[in-house]
Amino acid sequence: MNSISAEVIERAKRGDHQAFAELVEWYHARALRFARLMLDDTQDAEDAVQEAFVRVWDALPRFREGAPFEPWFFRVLANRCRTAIGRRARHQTDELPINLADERQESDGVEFGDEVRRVLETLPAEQREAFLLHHVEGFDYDEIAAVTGARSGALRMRVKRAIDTLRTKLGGVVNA
Amino acid sequence: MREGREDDILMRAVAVLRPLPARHPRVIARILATTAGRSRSWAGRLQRWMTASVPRPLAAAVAGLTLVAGYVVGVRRDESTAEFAAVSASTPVRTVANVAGQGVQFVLDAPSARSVAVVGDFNEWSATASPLVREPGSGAWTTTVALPPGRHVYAFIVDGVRWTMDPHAPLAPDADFGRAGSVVLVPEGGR
Repeated sequence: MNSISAEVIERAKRGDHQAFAELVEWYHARALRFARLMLDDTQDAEDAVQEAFVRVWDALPRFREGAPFEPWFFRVLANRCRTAIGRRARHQTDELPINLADERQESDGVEFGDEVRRVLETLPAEQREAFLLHHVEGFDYDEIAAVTGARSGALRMRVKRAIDTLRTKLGGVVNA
Repeated sequence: MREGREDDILMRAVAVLRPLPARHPRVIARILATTAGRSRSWAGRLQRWMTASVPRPLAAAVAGLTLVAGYVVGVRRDESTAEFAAVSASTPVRTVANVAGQGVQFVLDAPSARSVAVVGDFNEWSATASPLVREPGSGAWTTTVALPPGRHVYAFIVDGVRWTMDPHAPLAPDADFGRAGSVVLVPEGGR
């Protein structure tokens, strides 16, 4: 996986806003992809990405020189996504949760891609987070541990459970 | 056999999720406009904490104290008018209409500035899209922007880094990227 140069990060750390702009250009697409898949809402995802980059800008002076930047950046981003999920949960109405997955499974002609995103949405947030970081963002388990603060063994279990759910629910779509 | 087929499902699922979204200029512009001029010092963070945590009158006072003296924000409507409508920090920013297709003229009195730009929802908050030009022999910077009818939120970026707005002017707390700006109203038929 390509990484942005340490020199750009160092310049941004020293307050060079042009270097920070390069950093934003480099990472914003990946950040948006992760946030959209975590939050399943374009506006919430854009807000989370914006908040993450602003926090990165604020915190860069304290970023340890030579430390891996990407896990640190995704740690900030994942925290913003968790905050958004928590905010959403607090504003939810008292309606009973509806298992849309089971309802929609009966519909005909559903696109595989739509179904993947729908099943992903039904995963518990911590499983979805670990799965995306490992299989989509390409982090190894040690890096995900740095992102999430969870232990490697727990992360492997989260990813396994996510995969089991995807296999089970998507298997029905493929067979249809 | 079954294991191999399940792996195929997983690979297909991951392939669906991996494509990156297209470059998103609006998101990038908001991020850069928000961070431009944003102090990372303890004083700046304290000010943000104060303005986010204290009652509004005190917050306004704190924000006002930190504004650079001499920056006065105004908007004028007609480039042919000799005197521009600079407004003091205690006067709400005047809202104007496009006139005869000339657009809305933005004016900032900033004698010591090296550059000034207006950013707003009308130019994707780009710090380079609408630069102001210094008027010869004065400290005023101006530019005219054609705006469609409606409500627009804007602010000035001074020297590429300093976000400049009047804390006593009409605020737009719903500004696109969560930071208050000033408001200009352009009525229908104003052109």
